[in-house]
Amino acid sequence: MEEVIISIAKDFTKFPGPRYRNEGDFSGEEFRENFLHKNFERIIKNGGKLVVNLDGTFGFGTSFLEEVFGGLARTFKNVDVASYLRIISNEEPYLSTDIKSYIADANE
Amino acid sequence: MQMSKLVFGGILITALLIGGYIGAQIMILHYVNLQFSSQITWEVDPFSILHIFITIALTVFVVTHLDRKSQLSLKEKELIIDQVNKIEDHVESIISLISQEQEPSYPQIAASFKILLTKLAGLKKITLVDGNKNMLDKIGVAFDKAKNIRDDATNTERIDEKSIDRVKKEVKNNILRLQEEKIQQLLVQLEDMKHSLQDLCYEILKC
Repeated sequence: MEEVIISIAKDFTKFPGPRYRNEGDFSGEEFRENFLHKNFERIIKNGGKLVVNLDGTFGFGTSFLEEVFGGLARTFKNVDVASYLRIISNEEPYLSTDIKSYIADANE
Repeated sequence: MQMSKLVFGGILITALLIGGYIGAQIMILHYVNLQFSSQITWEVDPFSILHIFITIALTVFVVTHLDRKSQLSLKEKELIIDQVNKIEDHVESIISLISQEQEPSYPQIAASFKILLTKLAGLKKITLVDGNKNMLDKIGVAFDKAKNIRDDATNTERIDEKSIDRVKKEVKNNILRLQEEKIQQLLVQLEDMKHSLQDLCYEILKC
């Protein structure tokens, strides 16, 4: 089973920004479109898990995470997004629960 | 300090007993016509000796072990309160970050809340070991409040959402622009958070 690992701190930035590109640098929208989409499509096609590591950054604003994961669920409407994702968040374990709720809310 | 008080008390009681004994002897010799035998009989009761040894051992145990245990618990409380005070200082720093004239950057606000939530989660871990339920509940309350404030400060609305909140808060060039009304709302929430932390300190001192 394939596993694609993306670390936000290593692959994108240590200073995650706001929700949209037009709001500032390193936005959730930018991360979702440039890093998650292609890999997520590949995982859906081949099976496996997309592992997103949240550790190592200086901290996330709520709208960054909502735009990344809620946005992913809004884009892939007919897919059980949560079942293809694995979140690593040792520094802030509560973020995994938050992300689940963003995905669930986006599906409603 | 407690040890020296105990020793002083012991010396005082011994001195009083000896003084009382000598005083009683003098009184008897002066006022009572009694004859004492010149021979003294020594009787040794093994149970009495055992009893004395047990009493001494218990006294030593109570003075050394229990006293040290209560000192340790006091130190633990001091450490936890110190940690809570540091968290309160951090809440204060977020208050000044939000209320300052120069608007804060979005990542700066997000980083401040990460530190706050991590500190609160760490505090919960420490108190999980031997903290009581009330203490853990109060930490839980403070943690939930911190998360709500973070959401309130950093969750900007989506384009497809029609919300009044978007008018009160927006991000441009990574700078978080909050309207006066939103700033006031966040400051009230942060003050409430400080009250929760003070409440927690009171709970720690109580137990």
